[in-house]
Amino acid sequence: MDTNFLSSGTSLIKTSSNVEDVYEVLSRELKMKTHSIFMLGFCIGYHSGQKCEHLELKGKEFRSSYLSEKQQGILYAVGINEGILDEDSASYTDPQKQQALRKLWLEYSASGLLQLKAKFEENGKALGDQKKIDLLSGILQYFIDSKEEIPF
Amino acid sequence: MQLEKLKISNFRQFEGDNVLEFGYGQQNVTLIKGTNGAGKTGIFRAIMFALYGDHYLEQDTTREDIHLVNSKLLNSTGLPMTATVTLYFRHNDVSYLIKRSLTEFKSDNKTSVATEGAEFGKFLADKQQYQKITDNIDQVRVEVNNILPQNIRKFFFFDAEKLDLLSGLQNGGSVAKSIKTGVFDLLQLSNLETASKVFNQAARDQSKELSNQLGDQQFKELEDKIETTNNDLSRLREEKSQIIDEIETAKKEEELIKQQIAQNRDDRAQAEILKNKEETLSSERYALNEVINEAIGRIDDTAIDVVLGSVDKAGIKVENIQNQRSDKFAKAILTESLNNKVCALCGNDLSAHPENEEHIQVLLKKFQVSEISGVLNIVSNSLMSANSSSQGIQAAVTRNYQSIVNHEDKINKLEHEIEQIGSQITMSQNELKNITNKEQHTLPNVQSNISTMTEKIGVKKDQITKLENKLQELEAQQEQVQIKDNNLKVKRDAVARLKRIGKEIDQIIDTYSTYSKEQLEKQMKVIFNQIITAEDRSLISDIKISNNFELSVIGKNGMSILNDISMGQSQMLSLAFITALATVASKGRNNVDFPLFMDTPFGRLDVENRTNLIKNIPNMTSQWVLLVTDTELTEGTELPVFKQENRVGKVYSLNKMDDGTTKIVPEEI
Repeated sequence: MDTNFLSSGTSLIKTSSNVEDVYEVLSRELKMKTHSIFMLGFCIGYHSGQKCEHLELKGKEFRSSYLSEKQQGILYAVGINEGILDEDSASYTDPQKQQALRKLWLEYSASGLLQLKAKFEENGKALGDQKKIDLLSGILQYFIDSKEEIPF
Repeated sequence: MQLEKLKISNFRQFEGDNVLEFGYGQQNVTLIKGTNGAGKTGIFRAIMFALYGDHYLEQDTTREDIHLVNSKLLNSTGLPMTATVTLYFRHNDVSYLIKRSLTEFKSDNKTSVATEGAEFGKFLADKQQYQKITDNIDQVRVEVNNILPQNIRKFFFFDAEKLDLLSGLQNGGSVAKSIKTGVFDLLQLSNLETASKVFNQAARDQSKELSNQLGDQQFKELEDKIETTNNDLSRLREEKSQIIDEIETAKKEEELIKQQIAQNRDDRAQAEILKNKEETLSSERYALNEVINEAIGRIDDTAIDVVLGSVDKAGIKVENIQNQRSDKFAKAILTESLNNKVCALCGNDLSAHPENEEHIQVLLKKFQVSEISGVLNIVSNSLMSANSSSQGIQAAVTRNYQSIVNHEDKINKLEHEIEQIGSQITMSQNELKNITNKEQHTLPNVQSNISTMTEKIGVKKDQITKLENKLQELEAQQEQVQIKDNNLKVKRDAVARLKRIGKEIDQIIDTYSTYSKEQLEKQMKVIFNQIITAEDRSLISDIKISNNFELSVIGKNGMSILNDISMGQSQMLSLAFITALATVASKGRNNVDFPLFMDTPFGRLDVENRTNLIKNIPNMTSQWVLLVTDTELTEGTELPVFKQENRVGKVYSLNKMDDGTTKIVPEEI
């Protein structure tokens, strides 16, 4: 069995429908691909350490092979970080572990996108009314803020 | 001319006999008050009917049948009824009477005129004895025209709300022509022109007769040449005059375009600024879009950079796993050795040497790492790449964000400025284009035409001078021939005298026309400043009257403002023109002393202008008759001024009765 399961051509990732509106607006205004939005949410969620455990996996879906090697590397790294993946090759091929890891990624991604939505709506506009410039400014603002956070 | 009394019988809404007298002398103001429909215009109509037999007024917008006989009587009796209007007036110290009547009858619900009559006469010996001059309608018209020519009546009898002298005096059209003819008549320029024509024609006729009597071939030839030269001269002068008219029209057009350009200079300057701002806005939007696209393209890497600090531990773990890697043996050898309990490479019995079996198990475990080396490489490469680009990404994000904020600020500012500038521009894009087109094309064309026509005038002048010299020469030659025959000396002298008088009249026309024009300009300015509000006094810096007696009103900016002034200001200017004209025309003679008869005089005017008129007009005209509504003669504003000035001689109220008729009732002010 292939240990690099994210590159498997048939592997699909189904996202949560509770963040579908974020997918739609980022796709419409910033022309972002589904996997990029997923990764954006995941990075923000994982950075914040917050997960969204109420998933309804009826949202957008994408082939994991669309993720760049760099993005895949980060997702595997998180698996290793969280102890789900280790030096044992079986941990990479075990369907249960893969399932657990996917759930973890999706929880962080959904959480990140919900945080981003809250950030967007700080300007008083509903998510659906946000324009390209509002969304991009919100994302960049988040990135800048995340780097300026005082470590504790 | 001084109006004395108006007697109206069964005319319009006035049933039976109604009489009103007009104020004169120091109390030369007559106020005739009435609500709407009471018959104020009926009085105006009665005067115009009496003087000129008019059934319609200029202000009548439709040509629907207007019946002058009282309709109540006509309807109730079923018989032909007669309306009569008699106007008593004085002119040149003689009292006159003009009486007109009109009989109408009704048949099949249609009212028709049966007969119309007129009588004109005068009173002798202090009004004791009346002498009829004529009862012929045409003759009556002639008599009245001798006193108040029909073409100047609109200067003195008018509906103030519809007074439109200024546009008529500006240029073009039949209105303009009739007004100008009126001005020429009033100033007696027309009489002088007629006199010139008469004398010059008489000189030519006499000269011809002289020629016939002489019977001299040479004289006749000279006479023919003189006549041809005179005809050529007349033609050239006419052509020159036409070109002068065309130049004046072209100059007016030039001035109008310049005025439009000047008026819209601000708009055009603003439009230019607007255009520049819009271009800058477009560049800013483009630059913003570039930054946005750059930032969007970097989102994937930037997101990874955010999470980088949280996955550092994974990097260390991966490194440790990779350090333990060993794949010197095939995995099958290790598995087979463990299964057979004998080392497949050296034959060592593993059951006897459990320490060796343990070593092979460690080797097998390490071997498994090599199966995940691909994934581990992906992880370590990702982390290495992300770490190495982290600093650059952070700087780029900050730079992009700042740039977006700056561009957005600029765009917002520009949009606000554009909106503000746009709201200040009163002209549409098409109008601006039109003005630019006029400036770039029409104006140069007009100016070029003026220049060409001016050159033509120069050529015509030269031709005229040459012909005049030729004429003088021919006349001198003719005189020499005439002298030969002493018998015709008297006739010859008469011809010479007629020619001299003709020339002198031409000179008088020239001098008097220039003088009148200057006086009219001067007087109009003085009067306008007397009657206009203080605020509007600075509105007009000059009034110019062209050789053609066309009027230009020049504003503070040196441009004509005739098209920009309000209706009220236009009415005040018209009044200034009329009174100035009467003042100039009456110099040296006292028969240009007409009453000023105004319907709805104050309708368009504000309080200050009304007050100024009440104070000044009685001093500028011999009589002032006003047909006023209740809103034009209020206790709070106009009446106190009339009382204070003490110039009101007669006051009448037009009382509407229940049966639809009106009674004229005298009142105290």
